[in-house]
Amino acid sequence: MQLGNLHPLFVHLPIGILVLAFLMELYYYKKPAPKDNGTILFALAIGAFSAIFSVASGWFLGENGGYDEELLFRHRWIAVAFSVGALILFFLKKSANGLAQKTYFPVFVLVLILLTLTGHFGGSLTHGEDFLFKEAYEEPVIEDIAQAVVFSDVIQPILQQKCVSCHNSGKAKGGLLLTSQKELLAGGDSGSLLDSLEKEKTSLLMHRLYLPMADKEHMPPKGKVQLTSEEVLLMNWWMKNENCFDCVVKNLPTDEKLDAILASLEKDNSLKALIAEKVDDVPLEFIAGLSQSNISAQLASEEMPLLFVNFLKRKNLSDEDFDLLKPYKDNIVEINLGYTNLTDELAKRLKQFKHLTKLQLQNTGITNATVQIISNLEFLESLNLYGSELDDSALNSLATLPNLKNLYVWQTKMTKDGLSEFQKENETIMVQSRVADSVFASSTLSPPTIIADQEIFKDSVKISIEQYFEGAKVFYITENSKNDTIAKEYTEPFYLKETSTLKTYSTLDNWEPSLTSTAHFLKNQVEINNITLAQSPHPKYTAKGGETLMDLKRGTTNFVDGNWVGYESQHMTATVEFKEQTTISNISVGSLSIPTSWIFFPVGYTVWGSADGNSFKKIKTIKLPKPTPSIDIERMAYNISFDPISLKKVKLFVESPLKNPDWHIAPGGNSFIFLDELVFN
Amino acid sequence: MSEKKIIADNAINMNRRSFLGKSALGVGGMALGSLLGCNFYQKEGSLITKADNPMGIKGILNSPHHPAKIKRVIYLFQSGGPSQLELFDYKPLLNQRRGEDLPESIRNGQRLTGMTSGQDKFPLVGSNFGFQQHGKNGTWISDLLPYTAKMVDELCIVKSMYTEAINHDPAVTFFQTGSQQPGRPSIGSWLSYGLGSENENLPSFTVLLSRGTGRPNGQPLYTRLWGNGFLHSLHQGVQFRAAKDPVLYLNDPKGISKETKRSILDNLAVLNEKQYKEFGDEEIQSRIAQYEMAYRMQTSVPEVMNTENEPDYIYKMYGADAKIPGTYAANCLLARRLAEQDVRFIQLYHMGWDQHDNLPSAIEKQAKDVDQASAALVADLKQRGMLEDTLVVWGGEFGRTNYSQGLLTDTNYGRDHHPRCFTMWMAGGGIKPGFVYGETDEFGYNIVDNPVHVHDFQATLLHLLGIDHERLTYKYQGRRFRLTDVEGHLVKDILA
Repeated sequence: MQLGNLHPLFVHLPIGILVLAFLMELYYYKKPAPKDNGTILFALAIGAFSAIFSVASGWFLGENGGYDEELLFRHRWIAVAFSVGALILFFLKKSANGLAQKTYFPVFVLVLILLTLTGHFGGSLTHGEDFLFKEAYEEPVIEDIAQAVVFSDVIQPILQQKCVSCHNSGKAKGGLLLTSQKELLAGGDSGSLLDSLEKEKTSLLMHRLYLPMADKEHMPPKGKVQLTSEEVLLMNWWMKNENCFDCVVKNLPTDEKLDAILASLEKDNSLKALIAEKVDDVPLEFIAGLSQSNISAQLASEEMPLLFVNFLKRKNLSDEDFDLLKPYKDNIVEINLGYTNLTDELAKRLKQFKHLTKLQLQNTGITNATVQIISNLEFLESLNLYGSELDDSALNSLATLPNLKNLYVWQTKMTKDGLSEFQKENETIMVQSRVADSVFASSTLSPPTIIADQEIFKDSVKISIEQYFEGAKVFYITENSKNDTIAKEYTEPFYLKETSTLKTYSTLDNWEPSLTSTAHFLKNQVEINNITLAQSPHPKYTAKGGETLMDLKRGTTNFVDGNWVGYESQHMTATVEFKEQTTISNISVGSLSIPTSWIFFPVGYTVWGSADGNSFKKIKTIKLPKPTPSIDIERMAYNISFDPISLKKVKLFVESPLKNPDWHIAPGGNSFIFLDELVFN
Repeated sequence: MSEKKIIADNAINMNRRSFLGKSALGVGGMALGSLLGCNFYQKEGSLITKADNPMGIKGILNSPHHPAKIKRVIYLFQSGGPSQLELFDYKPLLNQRRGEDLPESIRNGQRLTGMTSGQDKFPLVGSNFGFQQHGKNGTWISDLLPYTAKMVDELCIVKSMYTEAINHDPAVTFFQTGSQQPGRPSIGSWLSYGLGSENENLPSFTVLLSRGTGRPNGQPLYTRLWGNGFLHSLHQGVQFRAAKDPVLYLNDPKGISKETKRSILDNLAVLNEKQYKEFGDEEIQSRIAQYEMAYRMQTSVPEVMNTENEPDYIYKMYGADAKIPGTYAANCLLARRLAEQDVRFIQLYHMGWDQHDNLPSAIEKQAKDVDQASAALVADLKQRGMLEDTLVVWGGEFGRTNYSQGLLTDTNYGRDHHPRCFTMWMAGGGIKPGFVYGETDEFGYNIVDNPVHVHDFQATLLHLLGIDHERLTYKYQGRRFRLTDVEGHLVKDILA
């Protein structure tokens, strides 16, 4: 609630106004009163009103949380009592009643006491409980953690932050003081703090820290700011090493975890931290103003008033844009000018940003002329020149940059030799050019796509082949009874006139040739009168019944596309009647396998033929192996061949595996067969 | 709705939403705002639209809590639960003891999914694919990932990830929102809320989807995974599709000119502004901003999606699939292009890792889908100087079991979901490169060293962006919510 944010402003009004009113009362107490002009009454009214408003706004602020609960409780309710008192005071002053006039002064004193208490607890909330009586303690600055004294540099700051607010000379809870070595050794009412306890294997100090939060003896008590797990580890480490008061960090044994924690205590000596110490704060209005001009500026953090500036690939930069940055040029540590219209002329303006640690100039028009300006940026750590016009002669100037760590030079005019020499002389700089070609040398081309209107055709079918890559060569092979298997280069669409298997792949310089993609095309010249199905398919997958098997449309890998007839745990028997008696020697049966959808290829076929349309004679029986483990979605046109025979009708039995195989995720479940086109030749 | 009811609703809305806010402002607090030096009149999460702020969405934070190591994240989410045992976590013991039952001392009462809890045996199975050592530190990487192996010196591999969720949807939701229950904002939405957008022409949170070849009919994903939850809808992820309209409903209908569109939007904005003044509902401002963003995206999106000018050697890096829109490789290339446009959070999802059966053949294809393009993305960012301020994350929602689900044969097996340990990798700014963190036991079942929980990962990701995960909160229904809920510890050991 935003009202809460007004609290810090308003709280000071009742304090000032009421104290002033009291002083005025004192001033006029003995003096022969001039005509009472109501000034004091007015002051009391404003005081009471501002007190009530302060309480209201404070209420919301308190709701935001993050305060010591006990203190907040006291502050809040004493403040309520105070506002009520202030209001009563106003009415007492206003009233002509004798009793009211008698009680006026005592009540005023009481209100002032309440005011003092409220103010004190409020101050404790924001500035810390011990702010009034705090003994001067200056937190140590650790330049080199290895040389730091464990107690005074590591442990004492923790005690100061988390314990001393209660265990100080002003408060001394439990008779314990934690402000110095002497007092720590002395212990408190519960005895020695540092000696090992008899029952526990640890000292009283650690015992209290380790107790669960719910335990009354846990320290710091519930509701107070707790030690972090890292701080507890540090305390334990110090205690374990016989709570040595003079030891230096490097002389005590540590482990990896402790090392990391200790390292984090060291003063931030990064370039950015050093720069941040030197510069002023940046007002948010400045940043907002830049954004009006399409310049993005980001503050580094709450503590570091440093700016990261991004020109957002603008193509209309001018001197004025750099002028806008001038007021806080020393705060700017990163500038991204990538993909802008930056020229050498404009780049001269970079001179003013002497604190730059990172500069991105990728894909701009700058040339060697700008390198002089860059080479003066003593704090520069990262420099991106990718896609700019700089050449080898710029490298000498860059070598003088004392802090440079990352240098990006891909697609500049710098030569391989020039760069490798530069790298040799400047081992600490990571010089990044194009990632070595060898890493991605074995990239494989994607296979071409075969495009045709149909897979089953009467006379011929037009084939075209597509490949995404420009310049790639496409080769194809048509395998059929007439052609041999020599690959031809594809140049334009062609026609297939026979039942064929078409294979195609592509090649391109510097690429591995693609895998082969394959498609089957079936020629069909036998005209079918009708197909009847002995068993009706699964009600969901009937498509158009027998018609589906003769409409010359092949089903896709989507089994609900309406071109598949599906049977659940059931075989299929179809009777086919030709328009006229025809000599046939081959039947192709289309089927589908999607193991994850419980669909498998058939495991057997039996063909009967009839020349007169009534009596059938068995022609061929085929048994196939059970499906092998796979999850591939596959379509198949299975060819059943036999000696040529003249027939009017054919009866075809397709055997289903009925149940899912053992290896399947649901072994023994009802499996499906899905069938489409029957093609006779 | 009767007229009376509308008026009554209006009155209720007036009371509930506006009364306090308006009376507070009535005191004259607005003017005092600048005196106090804080933007108290900008409500939590309030959105400043084009008119006030040409930079697009403004974040709630004026600055990161601490200096950020990275500016953007590309999260390559491997949906379905990739098997760590086939890809990163080399466990020769499982090959030696192939077929033996998983010892109870190792399983230790771990709950299993309904898919294998009925199995009477849990036969151990090692990877059917070889492992080799790669890079300066001799890191073990599977032969399934030859390109990733070449980039191993850039990667920080965390082998000790764990989660509580055991099924896909709760597990993915947990990773994306910090809660297994749907309804909380996704990571990208939190970032948009916290840091805002740098590019005014693109959303700060974009999403790209691809289907794997390993299990093409795998688990679906839901748009709520990139939803804004209780944050303003302006912060939701915007999905870019591989189709004629990459972003749905963006283009003008036939017969509507650019000028007409502009005038429609301007007039609509006036009406919405009026409505906003009356009701004070910030979703109305969201809506105005969304219309404006959509208008600008009409030109910015086609620019980003048009990869025609990418040179051939870039395709050679990402692989030939990158030419085919909608593939993982094409999405990786787009991710780099979006990153170049200062999009803050780019989320890819690649489906198909849920290999309960026929794992060997499925994972071979699936790994091929992602290996080259993921490695290429890291390499490409590096050569452009972007890896130092970008974080690339690769990982799924959980791992897979060390025992076979279903029949174990010489060549074939499956693996069930396993939340107790799995592997992720990260690369980029602020992360130790060429580093392996955490360890699992010989059986690849339990973590023995340095466990990293999902919330720890989220806390670390936010930390790299300069955000203290405990301090980026949003108050909703009386509670302050945050991405890491009530947990999450920074994984300091992997920070550079």
